[in-house]
Amino acid sequence: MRFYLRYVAATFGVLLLEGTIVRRVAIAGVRPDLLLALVVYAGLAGGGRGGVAIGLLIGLLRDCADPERFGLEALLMSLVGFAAGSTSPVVNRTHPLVQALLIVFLLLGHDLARALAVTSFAPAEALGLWLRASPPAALYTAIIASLAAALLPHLWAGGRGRGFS
Amino acid sequence: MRRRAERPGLTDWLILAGAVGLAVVFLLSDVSSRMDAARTVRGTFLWPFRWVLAYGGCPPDAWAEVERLRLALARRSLDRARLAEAERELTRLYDLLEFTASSSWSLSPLLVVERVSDRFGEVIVLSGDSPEAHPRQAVLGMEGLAGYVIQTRGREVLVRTLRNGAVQISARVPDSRHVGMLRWRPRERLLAMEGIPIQGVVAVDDTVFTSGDGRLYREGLPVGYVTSVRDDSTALVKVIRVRPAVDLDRAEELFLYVE
Repeated sequence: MRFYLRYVAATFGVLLLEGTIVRRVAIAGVRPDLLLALVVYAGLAGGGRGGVAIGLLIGLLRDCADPERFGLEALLMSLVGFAAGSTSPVVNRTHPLVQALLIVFLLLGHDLARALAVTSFAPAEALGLWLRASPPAALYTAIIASLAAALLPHLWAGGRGRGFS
Repeated sequence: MRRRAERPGLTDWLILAGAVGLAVVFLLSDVSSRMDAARTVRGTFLWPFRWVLAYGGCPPDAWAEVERLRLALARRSLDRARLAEAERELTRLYDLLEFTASSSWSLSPLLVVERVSDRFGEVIVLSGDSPEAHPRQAVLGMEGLAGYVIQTRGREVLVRTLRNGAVQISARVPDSRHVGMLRWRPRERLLAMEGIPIQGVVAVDDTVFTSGDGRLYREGLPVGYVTSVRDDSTALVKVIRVRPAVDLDRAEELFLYVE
């Protein structure tokens, strides 16, 4: 339960950051996707069910910004959380580089699926959209999230600075 | 935390299936249901976020926001000064008019808020408390007749002015006692009355009054001033041009004539 409370609090913290600071740290219009990074960390720390639960919550909250496709982000974020949770037993989840790579990979997958849905499954258009926006955002998010994870091990792992075990 | 570091079990898959099912249900529902769901989620979960952002958030460009607020403040100060001046002017005008209800009729003041036009000519939109306003009611300016009410919409009253081709006024020329119909001529921007007998006495600057024959306006309201008098091509009758008494371009306040 403490895990969920901690991540729900973190979700609202990140929402506040996205509403205030994140738009200022955008580089050439590229913003870090901290909410997705949070779902990845929730999956790493809480396993499949933790990742799905936090992913579903964050997805539903994100869907409020695009009510016409309400449910899409909930679906994608749940899958991202589950994917992160599923990898946690097979990768060294304490390693920052692994975490960063996982964020990059899952963000790219998430954005590709979203681009396909947004363009009504027109592959060329979706690919163009995805190529323009996703790789830089994935890279930026991985850097920012890794730095944050290094600075806030208590939050992500829930231990006394132990990180993921 | 350590317990979670294992392969996803049946429970994990069931939870994922539940989440995916929920999302798919949302996605497959109709647009209005999705909008309602978004509204519910926003209202349930995001109110603390909105509250914090409303009180603690910072606009993207703080200096631009400061500039915008400064301009808004200046505009508001100017508006306040303008309103105070308008109020003083109104009070002064009411005093000048000795604005008191007579035994048989009274005037109800309304402010001019807009000038528009229909296909026949000018229509003025007035605003104010006018529960007694009704269509075909006379509207006056301080100098005389201005038009009549064509429609009321809440606090707004639409007035067809004398400068509208659809308005015809039964008017009387005082000296000749001739009664005729005044009608707006848009090209000349004057009212015209035709058919005055050639022997009738009409002079430039004479005041033309309502005759009361049309039953729309009471008798004796000033309508305008004669600007030109000429003989008709038949040389049997005269044609006069009349300038409206009320300066409709500059009128800021008009009055409903209430019987």
